[in-house]
Amino acid sequence: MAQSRRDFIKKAAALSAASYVSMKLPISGSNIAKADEGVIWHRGSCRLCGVGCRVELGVKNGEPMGLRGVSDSRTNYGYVCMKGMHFWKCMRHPDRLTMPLYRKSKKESFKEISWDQALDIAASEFAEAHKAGGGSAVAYYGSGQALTEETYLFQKIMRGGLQSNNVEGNPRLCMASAVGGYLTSFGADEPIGGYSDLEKAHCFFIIGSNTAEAHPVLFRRIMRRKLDNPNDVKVINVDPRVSQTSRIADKHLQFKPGTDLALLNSMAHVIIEENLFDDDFLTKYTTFKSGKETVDFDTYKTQVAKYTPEETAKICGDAFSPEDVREVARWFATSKGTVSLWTMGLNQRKRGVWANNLVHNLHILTGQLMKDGADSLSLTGQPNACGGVREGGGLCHILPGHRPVANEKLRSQVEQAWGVPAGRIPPKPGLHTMAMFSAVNEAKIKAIWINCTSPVQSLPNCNLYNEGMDRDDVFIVCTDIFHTLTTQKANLVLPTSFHFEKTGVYGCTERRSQITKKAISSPGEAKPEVWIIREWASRLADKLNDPIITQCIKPFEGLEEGYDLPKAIWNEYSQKLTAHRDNDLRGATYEVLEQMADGVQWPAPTEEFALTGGTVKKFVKGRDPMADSESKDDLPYQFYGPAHPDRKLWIWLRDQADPEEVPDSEYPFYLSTGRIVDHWHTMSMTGRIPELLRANPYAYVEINPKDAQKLGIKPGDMVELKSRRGVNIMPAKVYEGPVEGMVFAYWHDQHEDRMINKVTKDAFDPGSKEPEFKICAVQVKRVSGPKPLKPFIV
Amino acid sequence: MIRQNKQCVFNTNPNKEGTVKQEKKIITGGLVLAVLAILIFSVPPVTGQNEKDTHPELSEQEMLIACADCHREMTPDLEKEWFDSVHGIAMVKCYQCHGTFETFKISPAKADCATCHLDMLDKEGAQDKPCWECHVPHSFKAEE
Repeated sequence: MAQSRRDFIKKAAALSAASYVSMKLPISGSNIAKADEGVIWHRGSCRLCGVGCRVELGVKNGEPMGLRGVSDSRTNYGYVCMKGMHFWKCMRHPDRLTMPLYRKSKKESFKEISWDQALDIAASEFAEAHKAGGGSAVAYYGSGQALTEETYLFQKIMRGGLQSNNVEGNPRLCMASAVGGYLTSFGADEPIGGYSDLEKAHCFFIIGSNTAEAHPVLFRRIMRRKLDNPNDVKVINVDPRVSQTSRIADKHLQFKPGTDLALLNSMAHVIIEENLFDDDFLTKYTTFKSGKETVDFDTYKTQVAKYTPEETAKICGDAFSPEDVREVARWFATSKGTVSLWTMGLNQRKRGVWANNLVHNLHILTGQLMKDGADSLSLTGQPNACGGVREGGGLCHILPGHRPVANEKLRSQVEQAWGVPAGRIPPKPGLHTMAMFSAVNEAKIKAIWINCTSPVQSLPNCNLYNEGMDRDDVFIVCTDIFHTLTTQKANLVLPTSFHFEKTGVYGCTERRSQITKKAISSPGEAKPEVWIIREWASRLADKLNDPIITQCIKPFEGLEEGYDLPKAIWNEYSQKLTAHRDNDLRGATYEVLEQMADGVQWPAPTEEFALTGGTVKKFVKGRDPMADSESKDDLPYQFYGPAHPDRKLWIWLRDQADPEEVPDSEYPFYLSTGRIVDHWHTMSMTGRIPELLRANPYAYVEINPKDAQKLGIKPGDMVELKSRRGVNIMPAKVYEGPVEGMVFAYWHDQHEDRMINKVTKDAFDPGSKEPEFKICAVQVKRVSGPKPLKPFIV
Repeated sequence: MIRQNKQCVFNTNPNKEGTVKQEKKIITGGLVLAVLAILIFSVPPVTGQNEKDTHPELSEQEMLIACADCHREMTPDLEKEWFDSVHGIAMVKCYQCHGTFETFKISPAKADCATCHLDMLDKEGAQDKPCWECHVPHSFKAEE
């Protein structure tokens, strides 16, 4: 197409709201994925998202040179997304934190200090806080991106050392409702099947997940399955917003936000009404529950009968027809194998656990479980939310190995494994995330360690919680690789090693544990967290004169931190804490994980079994060794999960429940938030990579064209989003994405004008304590035409 | 309710729905001053490895426009081919193969493809020729 350069520039500039950037971005060359001379490729898993792609880092003369996928990988078949292919550029980034930084008051500037000083300060402050208020005055807030060894050791020191169950992490904000759903429906956390079902599925039910952007490499597998079998495979996408994921959908159901519980009940009603349920499966394996009561099938049938497709279409805002409900229910029930996939659209809800239960109900009702190509598969956002936090004891109410802290017998097992006195671990669960930061607001928590996450930006209604983090009587330590908005509220910032600069295990969505070994050195004086914790704990023991703290780190003393130390921690965790638990990882030793390129799926009680790859399908005799060892009868499926003493799957009677905040005359729009493909969480990594930053330099708000017309908003106009809690101003993208009456913004942007969690609501699920990020009410107002904008990374 | 085409693939490309045509017009009208500012402060051209891989000169602020947003207007046929391809559906974006402005290549090297398609480089008959001799650029369909 012929055109002058001048025309090109004019048009190019005119296509976007004017923007302005003054950041200096380091540009490095593209990948050298095919072996160059002298390049050694090191195996590991991707640092970003919960898919768990296997990747290889190219290293030449000790320096990272590129990253590539490996085609025989079971998770990603060699494909990597843009975040995956670029994250290695964080490794030698000039913004990396390389020295400990300290300031006594948050009003002062940071000064570089030595590790010796830094560890001493951290130990003194936690010791003082502990003397003043005991275990309830200290807290750890971690991450689904920390290695399992890191989360495990942090929580060991907190619980066994400081007698505090104030152990939390950002997975509370993303998958706590999925945990609640799995435990209450299946009696055991984490999925029964996994990714291998995708290539055998005939129906995909994707609800509350923009898989194409949040899990792009997994989406590629679903896309390939659909494109290769256009007539035999159905894709149903249920979301108030049409997204990139909708591109492969046979049917997309939009609905008024928060009404999907009615839709799921209505699908169950159609399945029963049309006799599409699996009577044999229900008879053998199912219990019906209503609150604390056990009920029967007829009671359930009567409960869902309220949700006729006609009534449901009305409840959901008349964005789909009653026949649409019938059709998707038939596809779901009658396909040779149905896989459901969801993420935050269901989890980040005031009734997130119920929403999870209602998806599981459909699978139990139709027997779309246990067989290849069928699963109720909650996608996890972070690379180690499952492995480290759910399994490793990284939340306030659970100990390692899926043990509720309130259970005396299980608590005692942990105390014995650690060699600490009986009663050392407090029986009462600690503060969940929202309660923890409320306690920070009130300075009831006097010292908090924030590891590898940025709650200043990622908590809902964050203005409120940032007040507490500003207090000078709350001591904050941050461990991270870059500055974040949260390090800006810290007293002490400790530089940590990045992925491939240390050794450890990540456990992804499908119960798969994979090791990434140290391949390069850390910049400056950055250190692996496991070293930091051990050295801090050693000083803490001295300052509190407490030999029990010393006992907690005794097995790890003197070990080299790059490999030997994490290996010893993993050994303790896997051999002592997962033995005979449903996430039995005894077979997944470092030696086995190093041998198995794709890692191991638990349960894997022995090395011999782990060397086969582990358990592809839980609860199935002959495929899951625990289904055999825990078998109580002749049935092929054995539900041995710890939460259901009757060893059955539970169908729950759950009614439609409205969100905490719905639009009214004052705040007339729904606001929902989500991810965009080029960025990760709070952009501290992806915002520093020019390719990724330029692809999406700042947040915008998506507005349905009908709403935009009513409000006089044109594309690129600056729009104010105001809730009862906070205000954002960002450019408009007028787009037939969100359903009418709803606006959508992505949550990665660090700029104070565009940090959408100032606006979101901090209501939370009473069971899972996961906040309702996904729904709140806002005013939407045009404030001006397009304005120059500046990307902002702290 | 949004429209659905007969191939059961949703059209989420905004340039086909009219909405964004309106966007272009409005922005063109509304940003005269901003455009002038951009032109005044434009930086010298940025180049890739060799002369022919020069991207038209852009200022820093213009580099913040997603590649596809410009190319939907400037090279609409190519953009459409990409959008409808498996790369387009799976959100494999321009910069993943072509690099960003400082590293821009008109024709990606085989090593760039190898980030995801390493095994294909060793495929019989593939060693001595570029990927696009068999895989049509942007549509990625194998040539008959």
